[in-house]
Order: sequence, then C-alpha cells, then structure tokens
Amino acid sequence: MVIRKRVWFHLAVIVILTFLGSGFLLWSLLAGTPEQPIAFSHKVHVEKQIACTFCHQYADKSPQAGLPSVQLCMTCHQVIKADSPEIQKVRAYLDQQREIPWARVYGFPAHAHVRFHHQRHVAAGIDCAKCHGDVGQMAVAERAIRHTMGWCVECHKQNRSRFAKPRLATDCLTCHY
Amino acid sequence: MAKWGMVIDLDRCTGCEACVIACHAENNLPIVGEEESAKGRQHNWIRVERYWEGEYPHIRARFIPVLCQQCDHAPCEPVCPVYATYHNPEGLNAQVYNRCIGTRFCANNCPYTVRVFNWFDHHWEKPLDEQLNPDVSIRTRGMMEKCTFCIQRIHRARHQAEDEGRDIRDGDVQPACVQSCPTEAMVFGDLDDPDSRVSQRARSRRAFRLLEELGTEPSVIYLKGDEWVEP
Repeated sequence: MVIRKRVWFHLAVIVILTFLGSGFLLWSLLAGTPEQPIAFSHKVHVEKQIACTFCHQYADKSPQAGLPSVQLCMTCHQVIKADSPEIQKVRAYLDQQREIPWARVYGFPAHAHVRFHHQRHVAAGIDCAKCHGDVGQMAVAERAIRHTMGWCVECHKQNRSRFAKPRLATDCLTCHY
Repeated sequence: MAKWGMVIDLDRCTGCEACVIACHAENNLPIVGEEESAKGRQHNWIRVERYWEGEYPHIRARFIPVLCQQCDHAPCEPVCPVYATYHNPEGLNAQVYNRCIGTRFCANNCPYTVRVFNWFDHHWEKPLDEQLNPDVSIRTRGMMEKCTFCIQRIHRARHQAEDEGRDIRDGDVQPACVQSCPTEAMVFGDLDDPDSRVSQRARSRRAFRLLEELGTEPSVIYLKGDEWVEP
C-alpha cells in the first residue's frame, strides 16, 4: 500500500510539472509576439525594398536603433493607401500629436545591466537578420531569436579575431557596465 | 593592450569637489542625503579627503581625491564568492552587477574604502530622471558598485578610433572627474605607453601611491611636493 501511494505521488508531481512546463513554453511563445497598436507588416515594407535604416534611423549611428516617428510614417502614407483604416489610425495619432505606442519586441530588461550598441554591430557588418531573424517575412513582428547571454557570447567567440582587442571580445566589461 | 591609470597632482588640487559632482552626473549616482551619510552610507565613487597641515596661524588644508585605485593586486577580488569582481585584461578592477549577491566582503577588504553598497533602490524624481546617463546601468538594491574609470567613455573612444581605423591616442579617454578638474590636477591614460602624459607624470620624483606598503599595486599615482613653504 505504501509503495502504491508513493507511485501516485510521483505521478502527480510529474503531471503538475508537465502542465507548468507546457504553460511556460506557451507563455514564452506568446510573450515573443506582443500585440501592436497598428497592424503594421514588416513583410509588406521589406518587399517594397525599403531598407531597415529608413525607419530605424539610428541603427547605424547610435546604441539605439530607434523607431520611426509618426511624421515619418505619414511622409509616405500621406499618399500611399491613405484610405486604409489602419493608416487612418496612424493619421489620428499624427492629428493628436502623439507617437504610436508600439510594443517592444526585443530589448534587455534593466536587471540584465547590458549596454547593447547597435552601431558597433552594424559597423562590423553584422546583418540585421543575424539577431532579429527574417523580419522581412513577418506580418507581425515576433521575437524569432532569444537573446540569451550564451547566444551573444557564442558569436563574440567566433568573431574574436575581428575585435580591435581580441581578448576583450568576451570580457564582462564589454557589455555589462 | 592598454593599462589604464591615473595621476593626481595633490599640489594642484584645491579640494573643489568638481570631480565628485561630475562623477555623480556621469555615472548615475544617487544622492542619499545627510541622514544616510551619517550612517556611513555615503554614495560616492570618488571623495575628497581633507587634512590640516601645520599649527594655527601657519596652517594649510591639503586635499586627496580618493577613488578606486584599480589595484593590480586588488584585495577585493579574491574575497568575492561569486566572481562578481575580477581583473579585466586592461587592468581595470571590474564589478559585474548581475553577478553580485551583496555579501559586501569586497568593501570590507578594500583598504581604500572606495566601494559603495546600494542599501536601497534609488529613485530620481521627475524631471531629474531625464538627466540619467543612458550609457550607464542603474544599479539596484543589494549591489556593490565602484569607480569604473568611466568604462563607457573608454568604449566610446575605442569605437571612434576603430571607425577611423586607428588606435586610441593619448588623451582620447577622459573620465568625468578628469574632464571636470579646473586645475588639471588629474591625468588619465595608458601606463603601458611610456610617452603618454600619465606615464611621464608617473615618473616624477614627487610620485607616490596610497598605502603602497600593502602591496596592492594601485593604478592611481599621486604627486606631492616637498613641505609647503609659506609665501
């Protein structure tokens, strides 16, 4: 009897852990595709041969890639598809002089203490897709790649010789300060 | 590989504390207030110590700015149980905030008492949060922190040098304290380069290092002349 009780207990633990585990997986998948205020499609824009840096203007100039201002959106959409209900939403933001409250897809939490520098990576000739996945195929921006430290370090190790000071490629102070 | 170091000429220091203010602004240091300071919880990466020399009326104040000495044999490093503090290849004594679990062993083992513990989370009331430096982390409760020799400025100088296809030149990197010093008492640079300003000054016969007898091998070198003669 005692043994049977123990088996049931173990089974219960396994079942609970499975539920928790699958719940976590589902949560992490959903968390990677935040809901956006506008049904913006990267795919449509990339297919029109618009460069990433046309909208993310600071990716090759500063640590932050930057989001386009609502004025920049309307520069084109003044004319293009001006009647579409989604563009009407963008126009409404412009009329109210508000920026579009885009939801973040990527980014490090404050407790990671990471100082990521877009310009350095662009200057090194790293393709945007290397870290952001094939955004050109995404109708809704999703987190295709999880930016874990192991993932970053792996690339830094492989490209060690391309660093001005190779020994600093994997030094903590290169990213954490 | 550079070996970062600093020379501070005490004969030039007027004790104005511009370096302290500049450091606060650059490195997102909080103002903890009088009450916390009285408990020994001052929040400075650099402080100016004052000493009186001579007897009244022949008296003179002398000042020593004390910051992390970035020791080559740093007493703080071996006592950290989680390797949150270590020596980087450029001779910097690094503090990795994520790793720190707040045992404070390092601060207790530092003979210069230049390490600062975050006893609380800090908040900057609006609009003061607008002046926080985006190139520097905001540390939270339970974390040890210390002078970094303005590592963000070292990075910036290196990035610029890389983009221009050259090495870092002497004088490219200026930590906030050095930049703000009105009497140019502080000089920062590469101690491995014999021609750098910091190396030239370090060879002065006035050079000494704080608590040198402990064998900590500091990277901060002080200059102090002979006894002061009243003019």
